[in-house]
Amino acid sequence: MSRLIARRLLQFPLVLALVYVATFALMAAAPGDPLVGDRTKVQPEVLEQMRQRYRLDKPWPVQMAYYARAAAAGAMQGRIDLGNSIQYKGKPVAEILGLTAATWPEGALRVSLTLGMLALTLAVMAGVHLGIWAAVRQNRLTDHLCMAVSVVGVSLPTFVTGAVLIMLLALLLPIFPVGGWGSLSQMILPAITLSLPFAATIARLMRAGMLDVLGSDFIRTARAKGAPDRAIIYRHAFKLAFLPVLSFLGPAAAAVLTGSFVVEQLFAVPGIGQHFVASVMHRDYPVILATVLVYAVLLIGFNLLVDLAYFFIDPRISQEELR
Amino acid sequence: MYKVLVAICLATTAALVLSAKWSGSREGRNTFVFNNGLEVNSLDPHVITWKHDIRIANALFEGLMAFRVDPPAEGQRMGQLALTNGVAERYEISPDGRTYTFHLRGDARWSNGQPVTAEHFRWSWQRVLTPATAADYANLMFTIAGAQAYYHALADGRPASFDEVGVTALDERTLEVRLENPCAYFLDLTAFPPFFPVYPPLLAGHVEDGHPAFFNGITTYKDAWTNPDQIVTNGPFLLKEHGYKRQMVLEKSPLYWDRRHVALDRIRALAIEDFKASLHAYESGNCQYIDALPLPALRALTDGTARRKRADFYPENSFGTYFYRFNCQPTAAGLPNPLADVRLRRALALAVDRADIVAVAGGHQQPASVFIPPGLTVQDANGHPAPYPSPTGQKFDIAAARKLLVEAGYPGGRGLPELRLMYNTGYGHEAVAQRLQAMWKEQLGVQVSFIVKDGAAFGAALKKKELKEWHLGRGGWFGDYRDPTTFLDMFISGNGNNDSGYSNPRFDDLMRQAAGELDQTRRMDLYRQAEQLVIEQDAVILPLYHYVEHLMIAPEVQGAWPNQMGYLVLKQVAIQAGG
Repeated sequence: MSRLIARRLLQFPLVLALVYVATFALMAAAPGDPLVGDRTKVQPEVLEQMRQRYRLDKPWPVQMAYYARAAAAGAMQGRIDLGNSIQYKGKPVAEILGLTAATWPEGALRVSLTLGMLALTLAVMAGVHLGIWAAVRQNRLTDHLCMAVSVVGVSLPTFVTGAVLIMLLALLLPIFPVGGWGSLSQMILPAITLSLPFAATIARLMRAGMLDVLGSDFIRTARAKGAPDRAIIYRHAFKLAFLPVLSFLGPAAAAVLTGSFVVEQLFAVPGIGQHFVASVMHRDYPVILATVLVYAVLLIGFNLLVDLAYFFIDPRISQEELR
Repeated sequence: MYKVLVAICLATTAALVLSAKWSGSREGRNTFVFNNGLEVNSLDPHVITWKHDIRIANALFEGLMAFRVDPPAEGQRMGQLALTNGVAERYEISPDGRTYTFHLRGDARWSNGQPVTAEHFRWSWQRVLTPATAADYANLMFTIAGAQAYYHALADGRPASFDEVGVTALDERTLEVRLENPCAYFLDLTAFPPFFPVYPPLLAGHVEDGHPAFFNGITTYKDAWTNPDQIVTNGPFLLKEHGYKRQMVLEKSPLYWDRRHVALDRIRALAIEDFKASLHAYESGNCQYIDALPLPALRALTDGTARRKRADFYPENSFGTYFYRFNCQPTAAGLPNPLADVRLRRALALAVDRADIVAVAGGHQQPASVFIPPGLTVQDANGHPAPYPSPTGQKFDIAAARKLLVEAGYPGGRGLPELRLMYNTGYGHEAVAQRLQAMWKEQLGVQVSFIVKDGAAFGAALKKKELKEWHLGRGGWFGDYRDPTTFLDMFISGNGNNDSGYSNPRFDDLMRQAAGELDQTRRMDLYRQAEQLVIEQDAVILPLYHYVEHLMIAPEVQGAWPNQMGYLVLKQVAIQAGG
């Protein structure tokens, strides 16, 4: 157990470094210039100054080393230094993404995490119950209905479900405000929209897992002993049936927590997801790097958490198997 | 275990929600909420270029002069842009039009209570003229005597003294500016953000450390001076909050000299990028002013099928033009460039039906046969208006086009290699490009292929000086100030924006002559000849349409009239009682 954690923690910086180099190489390979962009009016002298200021006149490994050095120097002093944005004229990237203590309360990362956690909670609650319900009524109308709903949930893109929700619950029946961020009521619609595809996937995984476990010997034994259905499902079968959902939750959590460009655009949520797309469009190298790193940290972190959870839940999984 | 998981999720969510900063304040009566569209690129007035940046800068800072929008004339929907005195209480212009003396008002104050002085302007303008500041609009200051030489000397690493530049603080409240040439639009420029003052002692506290040797010891400043808890401003409003990509909160400044005429107590500038989300915010009453609409909504409002005309919908004819550049260089894509022959360029231009292009682009724009949008009027030193007389521009004449094509040696398009047309993705550029391609193929037998790039790659390919890969490149241009030069300067040989690689000594000569001309009517006529030359004779570009913006303005909002420069002058906006 502790060896697992130690090993994963040691891998952590290595994986991050690989992600960092790969991202930098890809950025350097992409055509385009972060300074010109669609600002076609700028004078050549100004471009030259900017190019020097952001060290874009240097080859990319040199640029990379410079960013890494600044980040390391910042980390030594307890600061997060991810360089300065090019698009937002010298604004520190850590402030743009809301990674510093001062910018956290209003920051993009916190907004995305909040929306993501809310969506994740909704998705788990709805998905798990829907899945169990479908499984215990296998091949009956309820099952088919549940699965039909989940197929719709998986296949409908969020820009459709979000737009429908806005039309129904914000414009036709003005229950919720449209767009913006700040109050709890503004979080509901985007959270539902974001959670739908995840809820649907969880429902399908849960149903499959439950059916699998319900057919196993120990459940038959429990039934033979006359245990009530409820106890069989929730006490005996649930733990094992939940495992596929759990492995899905690791990457799903990372994806849902780092924000969705579509949902953020649709509901005007100032989260981190839009930076993924916008920074690439602008070739804003420091912001691209930072968003990729944030995503990588979350992804690695959640996978580690899932592995640990496995360890606690399933006694059959030994430390050996986790290697 | 499921319960544990849900409990963890809920607890984390709650913690995250609680770690937010809750503003929770109630909106007062005199609050104006508008969608600024994009997050500002910067609040530093010296480095900004975008409309959404300029709007906020105009609320926070004030130059020597300021813009005002006068109400629309009876039966009109567009207001008129006019100049008014800002920090300068009055000014004098020397008879030769080369020296401006500005007298600063005694009650002009910074938000920390300090007086705004002539020296602050001088310091600020020096900052703009320092290449390391990387001010995109530094070239607008080249109208000032010695400014261009100063800038280029510093850019080349040569020593230069700002005392050689024609900006002198005669005393605390008098600023003298000497110009290179008489400049009819210089007063307009002093109302433009790069000419705004910033508070020097504030910036001195934010010097960027560790900048490399090539800055020659010239100081640059960290962006943090524009944070709400730091920034010192001299305009009608103060920056209270800056929620990144969310909203900015401004409040009326109690120290602003003209505070009696500032109606709003509070402004919330939203940063909703998506047009649909922006419209939703407007329609649900969460915002009172938006300046962009999604295309389907726009079509419904403009094509006459709307059940009733909406009184809160305003079209705004902009000071901007959508066009294609012809590559005029001898080679393109590594081969001899057929477009170096003016007859071919003119043939292509003559074969374009602008009405058709506008229909494809959305149907609400004004077809353009010239580059400078109609309706431009400048003022002479005595305040007399001198309208700009637009030339006829490019015509739609297929027969003439075919004739020119034969003269150029490509009858029916035979023998002409495929032309490469470059545009950037998004904004409906594709539809226009395809329509052009079809027109030229059908009418002239000319084959066109596409180079499609995303924004960042497009700009780089367009600006490339040598070995351009394109024959036709998409362009959009908005004028920065009310004068023909804001459009025509780009055709001067060697100009940084001369992406066509065009050079005609006769054009350069006309521009030089006009710059020295004091009589505004004659000056306008020289520019008309110059535009006629680049558009009609030399066909350097292919103007397609003049932009039209579309605003929704809630009925209770007063003073936010649409105008050609697209200015929203927040100082004069008011919320009508009972609205």
